[in-house]
Amino acid sequence: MSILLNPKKYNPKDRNYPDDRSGEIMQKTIEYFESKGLKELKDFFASREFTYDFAEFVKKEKIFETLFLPTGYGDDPNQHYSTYKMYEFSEILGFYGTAFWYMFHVSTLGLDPVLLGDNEEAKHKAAAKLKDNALCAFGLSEQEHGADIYSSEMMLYPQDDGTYLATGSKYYIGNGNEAGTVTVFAKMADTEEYVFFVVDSAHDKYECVKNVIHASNNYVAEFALHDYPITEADILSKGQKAWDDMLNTINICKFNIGSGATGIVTHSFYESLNHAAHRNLYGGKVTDFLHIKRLFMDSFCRLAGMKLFGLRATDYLRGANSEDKRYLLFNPIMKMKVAIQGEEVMELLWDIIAAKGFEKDTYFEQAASEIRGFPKLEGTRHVNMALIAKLIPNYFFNPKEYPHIDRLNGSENDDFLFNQGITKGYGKIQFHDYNIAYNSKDLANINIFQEQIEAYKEFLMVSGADLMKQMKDFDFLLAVGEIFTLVAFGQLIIESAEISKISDAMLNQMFDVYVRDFSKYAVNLYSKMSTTEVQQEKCLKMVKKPVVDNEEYEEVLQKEVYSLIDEYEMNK
Amino acid sequence: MLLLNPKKHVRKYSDEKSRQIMLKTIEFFEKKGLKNLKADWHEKKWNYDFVEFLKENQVFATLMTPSGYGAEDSRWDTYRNNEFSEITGFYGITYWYTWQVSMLGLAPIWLGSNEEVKHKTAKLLQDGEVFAFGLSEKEHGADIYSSDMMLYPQEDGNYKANGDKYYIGNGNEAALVSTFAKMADSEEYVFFVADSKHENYECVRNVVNEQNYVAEYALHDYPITEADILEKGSKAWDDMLNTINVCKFNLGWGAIGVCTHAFYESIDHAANRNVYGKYVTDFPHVKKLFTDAYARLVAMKLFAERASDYMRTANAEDRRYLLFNPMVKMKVTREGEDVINHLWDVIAAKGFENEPFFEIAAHEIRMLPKLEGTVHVNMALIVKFMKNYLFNPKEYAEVPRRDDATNDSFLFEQGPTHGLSKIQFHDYNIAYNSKDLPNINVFKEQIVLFKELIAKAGPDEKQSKDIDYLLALGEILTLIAYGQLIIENAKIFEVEDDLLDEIFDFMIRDFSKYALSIHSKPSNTEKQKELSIKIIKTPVVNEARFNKIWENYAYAMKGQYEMNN
Repeated sequence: MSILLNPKKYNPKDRNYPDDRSGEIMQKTIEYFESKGLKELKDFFASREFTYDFAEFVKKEKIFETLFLPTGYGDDPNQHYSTYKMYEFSEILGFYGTAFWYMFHVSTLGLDPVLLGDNEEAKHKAAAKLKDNALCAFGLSEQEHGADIYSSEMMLYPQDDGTYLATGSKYYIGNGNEAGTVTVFAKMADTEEYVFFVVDSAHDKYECVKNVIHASNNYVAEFALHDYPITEADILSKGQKAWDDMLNTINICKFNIGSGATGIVTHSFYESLNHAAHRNLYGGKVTDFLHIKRLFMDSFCRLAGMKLFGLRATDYLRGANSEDKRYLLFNPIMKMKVAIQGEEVMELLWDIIAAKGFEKDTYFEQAASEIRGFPKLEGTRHVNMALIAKLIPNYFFNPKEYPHIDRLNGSENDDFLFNQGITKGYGKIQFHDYNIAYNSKDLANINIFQEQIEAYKEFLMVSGADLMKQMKDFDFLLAVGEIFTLVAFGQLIIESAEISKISDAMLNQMFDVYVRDFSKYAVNLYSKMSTTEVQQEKCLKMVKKPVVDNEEYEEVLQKEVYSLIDEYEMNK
Repeated sequence: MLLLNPKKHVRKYSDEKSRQIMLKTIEFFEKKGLKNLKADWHEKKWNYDFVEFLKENQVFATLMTPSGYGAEDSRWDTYRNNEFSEITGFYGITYWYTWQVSMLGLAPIWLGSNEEVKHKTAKLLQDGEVFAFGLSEKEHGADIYSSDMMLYPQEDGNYKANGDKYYIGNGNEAALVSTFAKMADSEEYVFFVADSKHENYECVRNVVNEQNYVAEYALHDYPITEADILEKGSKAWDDMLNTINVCKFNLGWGAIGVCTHAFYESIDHAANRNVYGKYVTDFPHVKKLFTDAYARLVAMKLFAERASDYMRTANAEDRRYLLFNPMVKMKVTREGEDVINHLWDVIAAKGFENEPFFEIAAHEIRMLPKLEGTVHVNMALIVKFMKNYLFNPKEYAEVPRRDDATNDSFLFEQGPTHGLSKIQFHDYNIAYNSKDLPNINVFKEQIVLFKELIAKAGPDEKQSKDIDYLLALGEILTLIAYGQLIIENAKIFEVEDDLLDEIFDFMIRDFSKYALSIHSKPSNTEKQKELSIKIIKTPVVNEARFNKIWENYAYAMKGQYEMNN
């Protein structure tokens, strides 16, 4: 069985959920989309109407309650928050369209500051509210400041009676048109202290100004609060805790970006493969052309890598605790690397299907433009990389032993995500030795990849302390960080392949792609303005070529890739 | 100023009519304003207003009627057509596309031997009509050999056309749709014209969800007489290919227009935005992204301008344009994607917003490399020039800048489309040796090493049939020719050495990237591996030069152009 999502062969048992409810919401969601069929889906896409119908479905089926609420909230005695569950739901929504995914994603962003906050009453209230209106929104960015949260101008003005009035405006807020729970990040007008409070978009002091984007089914609002009355009951957190909750909310939710992108690419992959396999050009089947085989093989390997990484990163998110914060590396990779891999796969597929990718009755047509959005959500790659780069020294030179984390698909509540604590001490996080994974396999391309890692380590060693100075230039930092990211990405893929019982042949072919990527990133780093001569020498050492095994290539292509022809096609 | 600024349009024209066309077109868009432009784009409203404007000002009639068929000032002048492509691209691919597919529809008529249709067409152009090119079919795409559109001979000597075409721009409105087909009896190729308003012409639907109309149309027993037939047999085939040759040139120019507008908008946004107490343009990586984007954009334009000189100078003895022309399509448009990616890395979420032009640019730039043949098809073409370009040069008289008011008549008598591998080129060393600049010198070393790879370990028979392998080699050949024409044109445009050297900074990095790609190919021999990795080089760092280009060129674009609202 392929590790790729196939809604037509969906069996919740394959996912080993601890309860029936988890699989049930997945299945119902798949049925919701398949009963509509591709034509209706595409008509909806072209209409650019808001996802009201889907919101109604989600409400009726209580899906967000099942997904978003931690143990102790909501009606289900088995209620638990599980990243494992979230992963698949996000993947399914990506598979059918970004509009649905986005409505889900911004809802979880919107609700989490409540769940992370200190206000118990507000938590129960928000949980209950999901029954009437499942949509939530996260009021963080402002037009003039974007990612610069320090400069927030939304203000809470204390009144004589101990209550407050909120005034200000927010920009780029998904679901800001309809959300029942809108969490708003602001400052206290008197003390300049940070504060998180909750409002309702239906309130008459809440003005939904406009939709900032047009070309989609989403509503990305500019909204304004005009003397919106706030009491202590609406306040979720204050001061440093409000700040931490804001960052931790993004930490929890940016994970969805990778799983959503994986869903998008999976559907596009099936569609492209079916199209090519049934098309004859110049007297031959398109799938028999040499360069098309290569394009499909590379697409598949990259897509499989996205999925395997995502599954494994899920384990680290779920296994995290105050002594094990390794997720703080894997999570940003999920957001940034997996999403960018998604863009790359779409490019490869588009090279195969060419003009077909513009046709309005394909899923691909919308996917090709929607995938672009993913790497750009919740912080640019530069910002994410600046964060990750701090972990380079400990990752490579200062590993630590951790108890082994298995595939975590049980019914435990992901407690720690709601209790991540202060967002400091990032650079002190230690990792288990990446060599454990890399040494667990003796495959030609993984061996080459290990040589590349060694050369990268040498690069780091000759760079010494100056590296941190060089990395103040984000352009250079990005080049250094890209390689680090690839090493961690590959590590989790190997760990995950073991759990998912991926064949050695397939894994070796996947590392064919990654050896090439490693070399490409090395040449990029080699050419940077501030790269010194000693560094350059090490960069060239990283440049390697994968080991060719034509038989294995052909075997994987037939067994893993072309075996997927006609395995999934959306209902008409 | 090399880049288009519609508010300061200073391009040289050989006659006043040409200038007026461009200025009026700019005026049309600026009067329309960004708000209406975006509203129409969002509503996916076909550009009837633009077509009306074109009619009133006889734009298509002037630009797309070769000398001798229309008004006195009508001629086929690639120089001014380029500018029209650039301007329409600057305001959106919708407008550019109406122009592009009209030209594709017209070329088979001007290339054909049916004088009667030509005169009729000249009249239709004056009436303000648009045109379409009925080539691809749903099941066959680029595989033209398999066309299912058929012309059935009737007893009275006339014909009936039956079949279906797919992906045909302007297929909803075109007065004449040049349709490529086969004779049902002899299987001979044939080109004829049909009218989209005829009752036996069915415009089935728009196959895309865009502002453009990209039609599927069907002919049902559409009556055709000899008077509608443009060409038959192998000449019909040649005319089809030559049509694409003439028109694919516009793709690069469209991309240049799209990117130029996006650049103005992005630099204004970033330069006026303050985050973490700094302007976005103060961050080193942002400077780098903009400077790279600028250098790439200027290179696109320098190359395309120079390629135009070769297009216009072409004759039966000088077919060098057959290398440069596909590059304008395939290289310039992909560079355009790169420029947009760079800019998008800076402006991030702003790129999705409904008010800026950028949303259009980000969406439409992806289309251009995928139109009129894939990268693979174009590259397979280019690789045929490899040997002669690198190893067997020939002397030619130097080609001057071609901004004169000549009718480019050779484009309509290009002749058979074979013999590509016999075409010779002037020595590229002439251009490269004319400059002694640090990065150009590194680039020259890379060329020598690449030649060594080809000479000592060129592709074997199997590799020569592997498009994937050829793609990697073709990228480098393309890059060398790209650099050559950029240097030639830098002289004509008096581009200062520092800017040229900054362009070669990214050229070296690209060269290295492509060399690595060859190095990584599965079928490589040890010798090929060894020789390809030697090509990897790094640009010469010069911070002062970088800062100068950033400040004097890239950042200096700030506040220079903003579209009327």
